[in-house]
Amino acid sequence: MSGSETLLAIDDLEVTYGKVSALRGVSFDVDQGDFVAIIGPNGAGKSTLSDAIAGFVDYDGSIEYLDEEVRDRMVASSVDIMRQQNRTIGERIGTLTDRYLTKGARTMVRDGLIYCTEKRNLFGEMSVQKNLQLGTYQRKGNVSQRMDFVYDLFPVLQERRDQLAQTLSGGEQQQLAIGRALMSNPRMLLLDEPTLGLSPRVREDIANALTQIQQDGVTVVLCEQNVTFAMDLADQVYLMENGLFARQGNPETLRGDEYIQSVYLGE
Amino acid sequence: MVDILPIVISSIVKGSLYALVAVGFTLIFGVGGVLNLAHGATITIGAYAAYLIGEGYALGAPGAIAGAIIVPGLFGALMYIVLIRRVQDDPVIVMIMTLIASIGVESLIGQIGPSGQQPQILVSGNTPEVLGVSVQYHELLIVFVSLALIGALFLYVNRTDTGRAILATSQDRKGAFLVGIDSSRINLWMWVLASVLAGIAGLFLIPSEGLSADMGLWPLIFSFAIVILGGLGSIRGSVVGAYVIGTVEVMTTSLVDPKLTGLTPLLLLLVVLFVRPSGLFGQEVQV
Ligand SMILES: Nc1ncnc2c1ncn2[C@@H]1O[C@H](COP(=O)(O)OP(=O)(O)OP(=O)(O)O)[C@@H](O)[C@H]1O
Ligand SMILES: [Mg+2]
Repeated sequence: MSGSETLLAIDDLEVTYGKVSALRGVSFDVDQGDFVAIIGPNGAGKSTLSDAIAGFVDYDGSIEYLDEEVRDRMVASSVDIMRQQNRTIGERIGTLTDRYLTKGARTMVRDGLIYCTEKRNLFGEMSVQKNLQLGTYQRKGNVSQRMDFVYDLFPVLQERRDQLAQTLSGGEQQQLAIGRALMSNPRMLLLDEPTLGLSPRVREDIANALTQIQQDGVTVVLCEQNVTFAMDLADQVYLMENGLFARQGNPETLRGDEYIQSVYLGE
Repeated sequence: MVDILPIVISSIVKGSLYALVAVGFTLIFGVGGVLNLAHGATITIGAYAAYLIGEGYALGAPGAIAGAIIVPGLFGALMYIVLIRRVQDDPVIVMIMTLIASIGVESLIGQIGPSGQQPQILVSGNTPEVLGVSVQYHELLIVFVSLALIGALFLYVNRTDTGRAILATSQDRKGAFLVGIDSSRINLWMWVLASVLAGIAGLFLIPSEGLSADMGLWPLIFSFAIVILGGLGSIRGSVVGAYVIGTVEVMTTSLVDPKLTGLTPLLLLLVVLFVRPSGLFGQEVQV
């Protein structure tokens, strides 16, 4: 029986930045309702993977979100231009910069793929409230209900609703970034390193939030260095090292894996 | 005693005109991070379009207004789509491209366009004297239209979804993508909007400056001074800067020496660059 729909299908994905090979053939599927975690050390390729899924870098192989190739969601000719330019202008290799992000932004977000980046990318000179409101730019409806939901999850955001985003503390900014993503009413939430620099208490809040939205049917892909945090939440875990999956399985299996125990769980 | 009132009035008129030009210049910079050196050529295009359609086709003021809006708007869109979009991440290449476009447009107009005409396309005549001073209707129109357009722009940026998307794009382009804002569309729209404002300024420049291929050059140079003074990317800053530069220019020409037109704003620009050179790059659209 297979009642669940495949949201994301990744096949033999490769990303190179100039001469650096960041992803070297990664394949996996994410079904509707799954909670998938990608764990791995610094430089393993986690952010590159999330950027590729969200359409920020050019790639080889295939990434299909809702049966549509991510590359084709960008304006095709732009990708061609980028490829030509990559051969001549070395430093921009691999990055899909503004000029390529044409219809891509609209269709990805409209189809519910919401990405919360490692760098957060908040609107620094806008208030907390305005940042959250912009989360609904493409996905309107139930705005005040969602706002209440986010403020419930992260009460500090409500206290600081009129404060400029750039003046928030790191942890508050992280909560705002996640809050803004939730305002977009994600179908699939892609999170890169959401626990970076957070106190255990806020980490707990975020864990609770993720559990709650998964119960509401949201699919989650979590890229995370904090192995314990990721293993506690995910149904399926992939360990990435040097641009490849070194291990994969459900958390129970991986917890029993000797290599993971010695290197990542410090036992 | 120098008569102060005419100086004040001229300063306001100049300031209003420069504000129209500078606000567009700052919008393109704030959102796209690039300097549009063809902004002056767009002024020229607006003036010629207004003249040719209004006078040439005898459509009068409505034709002139339509020409000053539509033709520069199309030019701005074409500039962005054909030239800029592909190179917009490289500010230096954009400067070179827009400079080339500007020279091309101006020499083309210089070759085939009429020059020297100074018709009163929109309105003519003077108001009755108030406090011993009488203003040209044309000047009054400049001030009111400029204030109305800039006021509308403020509301637009602050109150509408697209306005917020403009601010978002200028503050964090990747962030804008993350919420589904199509930043290329926003950029295109900024080019159109800025070019329309420049075109309207061109229309207003006809009676005082007369038609010439390089009529947009000085307003462009002043725009530099203005937006640097006001902070690149800041709408409010460029409005304030426009009135400051307008006043400085009028004071110089009427109190010191008319031959110095243009020189003092440039000196002011140099001073500002020395005092806060950091103001030059990397700022966002602010209202
Ligand atoms: N723009 C870039 N240009 C060149 N190399 C890059 C670029 N971005 C990433 N890399 C390289 O690609 C590799 C993978 O980087 P990535 O950021 O994906 O790692 P990560 O798993 O997210 O690491 P971290 O846990 O530190 O965030 C690294 O070796 C990195 O140096
Ligand atoms: Mg990373």
